[in-house]
Amino acid sequence: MIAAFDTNVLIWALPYGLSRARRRKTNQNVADMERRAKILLTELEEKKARIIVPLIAVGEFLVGIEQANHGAVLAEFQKRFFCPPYDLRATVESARLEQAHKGFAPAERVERKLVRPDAMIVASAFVHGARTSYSHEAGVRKMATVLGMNGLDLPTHSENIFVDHEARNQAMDDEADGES
Amino acid sequence: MPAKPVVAFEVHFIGPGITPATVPVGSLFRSLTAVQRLALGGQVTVADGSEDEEEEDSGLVRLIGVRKGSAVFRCTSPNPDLARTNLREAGIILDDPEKIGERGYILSPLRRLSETAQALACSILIRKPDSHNGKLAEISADSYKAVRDVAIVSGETSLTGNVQRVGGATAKRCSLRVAFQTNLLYCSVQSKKTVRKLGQFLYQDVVVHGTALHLKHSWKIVSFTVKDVDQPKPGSLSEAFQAIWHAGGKDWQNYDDPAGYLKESRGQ
Repeated sequence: MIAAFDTNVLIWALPYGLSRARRRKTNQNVADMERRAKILLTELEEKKARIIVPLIAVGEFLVGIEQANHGAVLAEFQKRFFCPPYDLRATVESARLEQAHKGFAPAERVERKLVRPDAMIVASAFVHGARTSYSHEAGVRKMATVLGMNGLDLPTHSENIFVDHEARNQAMDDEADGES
Repeated sequence: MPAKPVVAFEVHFIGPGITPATVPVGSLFRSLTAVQRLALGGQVTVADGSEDEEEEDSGLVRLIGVRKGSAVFRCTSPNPDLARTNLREAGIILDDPEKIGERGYILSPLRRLSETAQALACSILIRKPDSHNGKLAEISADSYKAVRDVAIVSGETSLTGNVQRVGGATAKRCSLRVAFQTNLLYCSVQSKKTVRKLGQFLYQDVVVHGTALHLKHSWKIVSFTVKDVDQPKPGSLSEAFQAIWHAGGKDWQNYDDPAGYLKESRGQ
């Protein structure tokens, strides 16, 4: 299985742990997103999935990081994942996605300003072999299906009850540590 | 008594002073091999990757005692109709390279035949036997370039594969097992340093970076030149994200709403 990660998956997959208590202003259920990301990583490891992180997504990820750390973070991504560039063939596929996006139902559309970067990420992943694309954005998942990929959200639970249980316990422990 | 073989097609080397005796055996071998590949319509798997081995052609050993006149070589095939159909399709592509579609297999034999046509200052006509209007395809020195210029686009990219072979006596080459096609992908390698690096990864998965030539209608890769290679070592995914966190990913904890910040920064 070759799967690709959108930028939002990269962010939720980070091991925030104790630092989570600092982030109270978000509307999202942070603990739940981190739990879901943990389940995803565990399941993909069990499936021995190969992970693609398009360079466009890595670039977006770097936006939240001090410039002094950009080189080190980029090196880690390249060392651990296949990070394909936005190349000639991806250009054609992302144009196709932008065209297709105009026909999406309103609920499936991504914000206009995000159409291009999202299309570039999905296209890069597709042309380099990914057939499953993980994103928390409905519009990005819809784009993936246009290219014949599986567009999946972070899993809400694991079919493996042990994985599910462990992720929940971890989330509760972290939450408790953050409160104290 | 076995049936007499049917002549499927003829290969004519046409040019001033061209006779069977003036065609070097190496050129003849390569040309007829290339014609065979055209006749088989891409159904042939190149045995042992031998297409990638350039052989020296001294031109000293040639056919002799062959009937004088144009250098005409009659060929037989188990399925003459199919061979002629495939050769006719190659001829159609030569007349209109936009019609190449998925048939990238014609490029390699076409290059060989154009090189021969160039070297011998001739054209190579493939035609139905015993027929005045039986032209199937005609290859000149410019044919390969004409098709390549119309049908091919090139660009930098990266791809993953498993290294199967590295090296080459006269050229730096490697072959990769890749997910997007069943046959091996034969690649040129830009430098000896990269060949040595590839050699360290024999039978292992790698990411290669370089220049790809694509068929512009199907985006099939018809040629790839490896410029660099590396090998991702993911470990476990949890370890990977721990490493990214320690390398600087932890800066994301400075945002109260990381997902919101991401959305905001993308829109700028």
